[in-house]
Amino acid sequence: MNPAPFVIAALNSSDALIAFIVYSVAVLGIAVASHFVLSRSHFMSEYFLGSRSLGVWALMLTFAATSASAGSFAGFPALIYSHGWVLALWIAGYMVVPIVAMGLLGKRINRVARQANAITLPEMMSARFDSRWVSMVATLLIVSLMLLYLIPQFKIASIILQELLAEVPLWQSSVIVTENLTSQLPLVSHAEPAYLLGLFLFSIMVIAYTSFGGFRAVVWTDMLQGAAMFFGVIVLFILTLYQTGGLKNATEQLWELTPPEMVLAEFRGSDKLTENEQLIPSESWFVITEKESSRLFRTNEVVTLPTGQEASKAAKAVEIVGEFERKLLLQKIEDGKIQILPNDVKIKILKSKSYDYGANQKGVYVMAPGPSESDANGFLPFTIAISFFIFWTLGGAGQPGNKVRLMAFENTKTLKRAMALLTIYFGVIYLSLVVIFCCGRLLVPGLDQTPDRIMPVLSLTVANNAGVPWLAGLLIAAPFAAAMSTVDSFMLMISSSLVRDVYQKEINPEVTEKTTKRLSYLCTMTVGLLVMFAAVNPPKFLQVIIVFASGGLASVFLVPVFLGLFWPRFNAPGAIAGMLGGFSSCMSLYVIGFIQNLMAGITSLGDIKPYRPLEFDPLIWGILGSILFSISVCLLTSPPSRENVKKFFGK
Amino acid sequence: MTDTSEIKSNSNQPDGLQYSNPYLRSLKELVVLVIGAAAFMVWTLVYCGNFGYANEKTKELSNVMGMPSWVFWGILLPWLCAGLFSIWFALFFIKDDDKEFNRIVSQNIALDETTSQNAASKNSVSKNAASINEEQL
Repeated sequence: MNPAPFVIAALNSSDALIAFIVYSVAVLGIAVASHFVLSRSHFMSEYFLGSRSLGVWALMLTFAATSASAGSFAGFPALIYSHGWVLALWIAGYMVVPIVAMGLLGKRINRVARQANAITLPEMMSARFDSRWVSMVATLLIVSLMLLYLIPQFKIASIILQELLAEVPLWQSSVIVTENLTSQLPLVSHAEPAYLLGLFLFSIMVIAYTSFGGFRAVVWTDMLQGAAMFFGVIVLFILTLYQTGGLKNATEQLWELTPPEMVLAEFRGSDKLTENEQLIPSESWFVITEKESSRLFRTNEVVTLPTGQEASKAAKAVEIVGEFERKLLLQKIEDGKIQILPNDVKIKILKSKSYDYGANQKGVYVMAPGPSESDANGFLPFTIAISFFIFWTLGGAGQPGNKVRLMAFENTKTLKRAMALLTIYFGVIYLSLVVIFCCGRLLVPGLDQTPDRIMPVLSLTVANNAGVPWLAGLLIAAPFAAAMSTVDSFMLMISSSLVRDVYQKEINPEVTEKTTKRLSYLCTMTVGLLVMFAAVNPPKFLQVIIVFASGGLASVFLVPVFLGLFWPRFNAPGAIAGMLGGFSSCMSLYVIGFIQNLMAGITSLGDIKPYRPLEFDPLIWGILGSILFSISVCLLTSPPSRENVKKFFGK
Repeated sequence: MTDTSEIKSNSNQPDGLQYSNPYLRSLKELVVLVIGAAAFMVWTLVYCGNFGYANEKTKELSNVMGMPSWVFWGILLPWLCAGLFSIWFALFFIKDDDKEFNRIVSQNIALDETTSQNAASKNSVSKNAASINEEQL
């Protein structure tokens, strides 16, 4: 779920700046406080695992926040807006995520990690299997997949920050300074200065608090973000429902809607237009009258009119074609509630496309599979619904970031209570988001070409309508906070693997605590800086990378860790085979998809789809491959030593 | 829920290794968890597969408490039930056996230390015997 660039045309600049400053100050304060705790504790255990002292709220909120990336608060709302109620089925797997992600491995992984005195996941696996090869393979896969995942996250967060502060005068002058500084520098001169500034600011903030605060800073910022999102979603839910006249009314209206048409339009101005009118903001309405009927459109990006009567660049817009919606909106235009472009602006429709599934059909936003612009089978055919249910459930359980958190809680009572609380948290958040953005379609129609903007635009709309515009600032900062909470965990995991599993275990076992401390700070900072530089020139196919990396991590680690915790017979060769088998099963489907797409003439890497046998996601095949390799290699090789089995399973 | 029944440990290994109660209990918890999760998945997917997908018979909207009826019966209700099950499982079914686990770990550590000490003293006795033999020779 990769948010495209967006413009918050009407967000008051001071609201955005205040929200950003409040959040930044809180985050840096947390880093200082956790550094203070760090200085009084055993360094490695505190820096990478919070001294195994996570309490109930910390465990619950950090688990929730780590699970939610920027995509959850930008991409998921965009999907709901575009496809309707079917997204409730798409996300339904989350009903069992708390119990599976925490309950499946929680108690056992915490205990085995304590017995092994392990701080990192590779270290725990190495102790369980009594094999340094397991640790080395695990470390290699963690570092490479997580680095891959981090680059697009840095890019996404930078874009979000860039758009959040776009209207702030201080930001605008800083962009000019950045342009002056970087225009002559090799490797960065081609990048947009606003993007570079956003990347720099985001990177500095996340590197600072992660490097100096360690695991505890990461957890505390997760708590801040998790709590802010919970309350933000509740408030948005209440405001949205109230402003649409209740859920029944909203669903009945949604039933009447039909999908719009996606158009490209060209605009020409005239000499009569003022300087202000030369810039057409995004979400502007315009009408084209043909014979006796009026066609209604809405722009989805900013349009700059050239001087004179030259044509603008082709701009994305949406045509409202459903009778019900069109009549409602035209009436609002007549009543003066909606402003349209002046008649001096001449418009020509260059291209128009109907939806492949759902065009002119009522009820598509209420029933499955949901409308789709590009797929004749609809958004969510049933086989894909099955795939996603399993994807969310097993994907959550398989993420190394979640496993590390399970190594860090205090005791079983903490786990039990955190599971109960997480169940409530996910239920409230995800079901509320589905309701909010289904209703959002009625409050903010015609945003289908850039649906990633629905979160900020809807927040702004309902907050302004309710007379609390500052609330929009906090809500819009949420995807930025979500990106931070994902990035910090991954950075720390990479750094812990390198310092503990590579340096301390393999190179210098006698390393002093002072050296370890310096190395840990240095490593975390270096990882952050490397990713920052890589994000200056990020690859274009971000979405494919994000999905591959997260699916890959689950395919690699879920089965070997699960079998290692519950099956005494499971051994080191089985674990290594399981990790490599899971990785290669998942990766091969992407390679096959790439080749298929190339043969079909699709050369843009951003449009690549993996091969999905029986419509199941590569993650599922990766897990099946991991199971096959794990069990078969284990049974073909000798069992683990009695001492090892007795230590982790015996009386 | 307090597990008052004693779990009988199995000897699955030929040399008589007995599995600890905390481990056996975690297996039991795993089985219940998997059955529960699978049941909710089947409920959701079967119901939504049958009633959520539009077909030629879908002519009018049917809603319950403001949401489409298939969402209410096929997603909201199983989600609520899964939530209650998860809370019951978390708070009442998972046994808090930390004390028992810590006791076993401490015993094992003590046993390992004793074994190491015995091995060290055996080594030193053997070395002494070897040096006495050398002197005699």
